[in-house]
Amino acid sequence: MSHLINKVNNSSLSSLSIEDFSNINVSSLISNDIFSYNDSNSKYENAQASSVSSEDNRGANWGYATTSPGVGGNVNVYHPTNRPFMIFYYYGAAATTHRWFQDTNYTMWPTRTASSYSYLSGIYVPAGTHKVKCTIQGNHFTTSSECVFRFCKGPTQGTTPTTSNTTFVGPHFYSAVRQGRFSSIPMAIITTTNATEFIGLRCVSATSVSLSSMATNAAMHIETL
Amino acid sequence: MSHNKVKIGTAEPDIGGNIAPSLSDLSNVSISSPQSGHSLVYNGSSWETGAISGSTSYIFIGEGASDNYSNTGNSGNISVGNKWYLYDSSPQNTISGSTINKVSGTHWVETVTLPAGTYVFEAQFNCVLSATGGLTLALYTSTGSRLSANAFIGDSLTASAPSSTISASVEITSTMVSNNQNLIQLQVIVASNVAGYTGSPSQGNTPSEFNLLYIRKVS
Repeated sequence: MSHLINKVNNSSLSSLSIEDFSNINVSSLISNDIFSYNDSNSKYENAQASSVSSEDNRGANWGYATTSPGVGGNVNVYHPTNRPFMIFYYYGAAATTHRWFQDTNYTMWPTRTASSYSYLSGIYVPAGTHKVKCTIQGNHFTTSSECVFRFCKGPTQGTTPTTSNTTFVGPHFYSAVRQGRFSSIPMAIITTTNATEFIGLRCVSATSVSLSSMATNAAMHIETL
Repeated sequence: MSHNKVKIGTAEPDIGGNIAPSLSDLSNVSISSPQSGHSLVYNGSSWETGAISGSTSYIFIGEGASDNYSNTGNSGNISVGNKWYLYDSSPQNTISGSTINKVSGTHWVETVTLPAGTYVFEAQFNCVLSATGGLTLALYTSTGSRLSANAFIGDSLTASAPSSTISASVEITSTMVSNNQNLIQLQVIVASNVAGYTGSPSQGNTPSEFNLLYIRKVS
């Protein structure tokens, strides 16, 4: 049975606005807002577009410093209250102290440094397209020392990544002591389809370079696009 | 008692004459399986749900595969003004209206055609040197307009050597598109003792394994 329409959500038909719709939630509206869907309340809510889908607001970040936070990288750039990234976890610290993730879909390998630390390290990520970027540094023994890295994809969370269960993906990158010679900011766009999947930076070859020491000053940052 | 049969979409008024329509009751709104983070986006004729395009659309070229640089179709020396090619058998491209242009019959990318918009570029590269020297590249349009600062790799330890990564923000205007100035390429600025396309030594597989170009559409 239908009834006479006088109002739409208590607004007269002559002054109907988008806020009068039942699945619209507007607050503190400012210029250039868009409507973004919130599945926790099944409503469209206004927000600035840059805060909704910037590639910088999702992902994970990690790295090592050999002595204390602030040494070895951009510690605190991604502070947990400002950015949902893990900040650098440093050698000797409790594993839960100096790392942050967007959510539990991102986890780190390894969970803690050790003297036998592997040269294969990285992050288990959820399915998606990821922009991965690293800083790397080597412990080079001679003036001609160099090594080559590539990103790799590997097993699901809970399975230890190895050279056998990971495959290379993306370009090659050098680390070398010779000034200005080689690119040294590994980056790639990597798509993963499994619920969890390992993305790491894996050594392809090395000449007179300490691999275990190299990892102590590496940092890794994943932006899920 | 009479009743009004008017509805908004599928929404009907209650006994007090109040009605609570949703957006999908509007004729120019199409909502299908919305997910968290989706927005109402105007597609030119109606509003529909979807991810906001533009902020995360990108091109990434550089799979790291091995292919000889001579397969770019060039031979002899690499000279100032030459294109610097990138190799990818399956480049990633989510920028609507763009085209990745390859040398015919190969996976060597020579230019990228971009629609009007604002972009952020990052590029890295590597090459074989025949002696102490270096290679300087920059981002150019195919019509000769510079779009970025220089980037350099090499073992000439000169104070003027710039950094090894190209980074630039560029606006491609509609005028540039009309004038065919939206074909983007990496271009050789300085080549000092850079091994050739062919000969000994030559570039071999090094450029295909190390070169990359990342383009993100900002707006």
